[in-house]
Amino acid sequence: MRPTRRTWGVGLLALSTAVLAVVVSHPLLLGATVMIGVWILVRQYRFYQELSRMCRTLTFEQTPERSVLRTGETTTVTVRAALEPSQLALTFTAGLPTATVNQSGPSSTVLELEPESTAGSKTIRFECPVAGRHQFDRATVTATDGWFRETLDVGPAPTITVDARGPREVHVGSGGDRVSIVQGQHSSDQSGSGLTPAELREYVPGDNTDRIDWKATARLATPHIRTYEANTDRPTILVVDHRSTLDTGPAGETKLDYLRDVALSIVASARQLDDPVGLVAVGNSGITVQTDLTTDLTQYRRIRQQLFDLEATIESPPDHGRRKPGPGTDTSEPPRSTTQTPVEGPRRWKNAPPTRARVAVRKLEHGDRDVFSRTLGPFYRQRQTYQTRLESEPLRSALRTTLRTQQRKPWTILFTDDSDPVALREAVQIARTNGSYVLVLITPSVLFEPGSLATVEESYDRYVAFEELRRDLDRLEGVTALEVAPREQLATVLAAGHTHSTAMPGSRSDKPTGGRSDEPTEGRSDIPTGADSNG
Amino acid sequence: MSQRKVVLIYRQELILMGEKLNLPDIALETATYHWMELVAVPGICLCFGLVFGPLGIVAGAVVAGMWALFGVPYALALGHVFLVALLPGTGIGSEIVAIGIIELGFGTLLLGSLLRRSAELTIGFVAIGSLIALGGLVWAVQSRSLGLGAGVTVVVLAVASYGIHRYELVALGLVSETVAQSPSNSPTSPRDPK
Repeated sequence: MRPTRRTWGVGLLALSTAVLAVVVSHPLLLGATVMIGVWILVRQYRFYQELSRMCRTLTFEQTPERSVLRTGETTTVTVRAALEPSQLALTFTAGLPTATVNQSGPSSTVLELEPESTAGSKTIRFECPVAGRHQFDRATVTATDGWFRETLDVGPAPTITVDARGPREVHVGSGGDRVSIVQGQHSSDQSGSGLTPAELREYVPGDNTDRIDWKATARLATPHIRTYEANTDRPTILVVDHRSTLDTGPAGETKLDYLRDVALSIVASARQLDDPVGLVAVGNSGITVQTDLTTDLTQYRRIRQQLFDLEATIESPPDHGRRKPGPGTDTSEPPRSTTQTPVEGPRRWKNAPPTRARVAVRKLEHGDRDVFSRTLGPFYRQRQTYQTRLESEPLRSALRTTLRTQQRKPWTILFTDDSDPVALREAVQIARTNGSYVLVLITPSVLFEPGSLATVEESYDRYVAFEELRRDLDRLEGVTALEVAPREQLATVLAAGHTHSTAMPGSRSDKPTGGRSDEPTEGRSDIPTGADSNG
Repeated sequence: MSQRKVVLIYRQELILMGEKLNLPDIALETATYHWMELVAVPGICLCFGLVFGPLGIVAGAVVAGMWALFGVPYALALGHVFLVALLPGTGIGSEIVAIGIIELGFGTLLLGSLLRRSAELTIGFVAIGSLIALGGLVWAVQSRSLGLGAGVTVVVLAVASYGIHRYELVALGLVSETVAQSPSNSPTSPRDPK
């Protein structure tokens, strides 16, 4: 209970009359001191009574609109107060978490109730740029009757969870069906030295006598040979396309982010099975990362880090020749034909507002003359070095260059998008010719472009076109083509297509709704571990 | 005219006055008056006039103006100053009855300002009880020494005010439970090797 300035003034008045009584030597003035003092005491007691009554009758809520959100998203919290009529003026202050940014202005967190008010509410808009679990502070209420003031904590302290931006639900499958892609135990169909018994067969001339199973021979009366499954590994090369077209999508949820998630899970699986893994990353002008096949533990970690470090390379500006490019920079390439999107082209990632990081990278790429670019430019150019510069068709050339040098035919996993189907088909053919088996993981552009779901029917048509491309690739011998997409967007498009097909019977009979089945298969995780998909 | 109507009329007038004088807080604070105040203020003016003549009427009017503009404490202080100034002697002599009547008016004004609703018996009892107790104590002490009486008055008021403050903190659970842990009984403190 803190007195206000007015109360201090009255207290001073009481003291003055006491002093005056002594000065003029008149006891009657002490009567004024006593009366004013009693007046203060009773006001104080009355304030306590009102405050107690307010505490008993007050109901206060502090309710966030959402309990889970993502970094940078805006949401609201509503504060509501209800109480019986009180003579106190109440000021409620919401307890926003420290890590939030109030977007409604500093005064927006305050809810004021005049005396005799019985209810009030206020909605506060805020943003949370920091990921994590954030707890609201308890709201505070300051009650005053004009003479005394007290501040109390009221109401609950709810918690919100802020997730970092990134792929939330990765769908890997075909036509809406989920498919397991991660490697598990795989059959080699070869016998040799190993631990797992394969078969027991009769000795035939030419067999090595060391392999005779003497116990079986004694039991069966004729020489028998026990064969074992040969322990083999499966060399896997990840070819990750990180050209500019892979930058489509919201910040942290681009095509490349989704493909990166899948690639990381494959690397983790390969590490578990001791399968050798290599990585080739292809930018706009050539190979940016090339790691040879290896089973070294540090190499797995290195590949993992390289995948995390991958960023979509920037498209050259139209006036890319205005400065002399540094060694290895990506600014001298000709305009790429791959910017044409055959499935449906021109509405692309350029519609999305660039993030601050992306703007900074563009500044560095374009060689702006501000202090930022001048300071960091040399370091950035050194970092952005291509290991192998390829003049045209970087994806195909990279595949050709990489696979040609492999002694064993590896399992090739290609991560890319559908922005250039012709080049993609040729790339898959090259991979198939030079490798053993090809898995193509494609992101459909329609599910990543901002605003593309505004007209779901058109989006469905574009998805059908993508699905045809995927099926064409999947029909090739030794090739499996799968889609990688955000599950929510995919479900929206498929639902729209299903509704459209139902509304117009026969009109879309030639188009797949959900590919191999109409509805996504439930009950399996998107990227299960230990499942076999080696074909 | 009922009490309710009187209150409303005063509220409107004083709000208008408050806007003119740029004193809205004070005007609003004193806008709703208890009937005892409305009786006490004219009574004080009348008593001043009867006891001290025309000068008393002026003093009573000034006290009433002070009450209307700045509230009861200032009116009480000024009223007592006028009372002391208008008394012929330095002591309380033959005008004991007149002083008693005026003090009764002050007491009524004090009580009326503290009662917002007629049924607030608790507040009334607290006010009257503390007034009598403190007044008696001060009267008893000041007969020995006026300075001692003034000091006792101030100290008693300060202690009582602090007592109510502490009572409020405990009653509303606003006292944080801090466990003072001295280094000697801390579990992590090193034991005496002996």
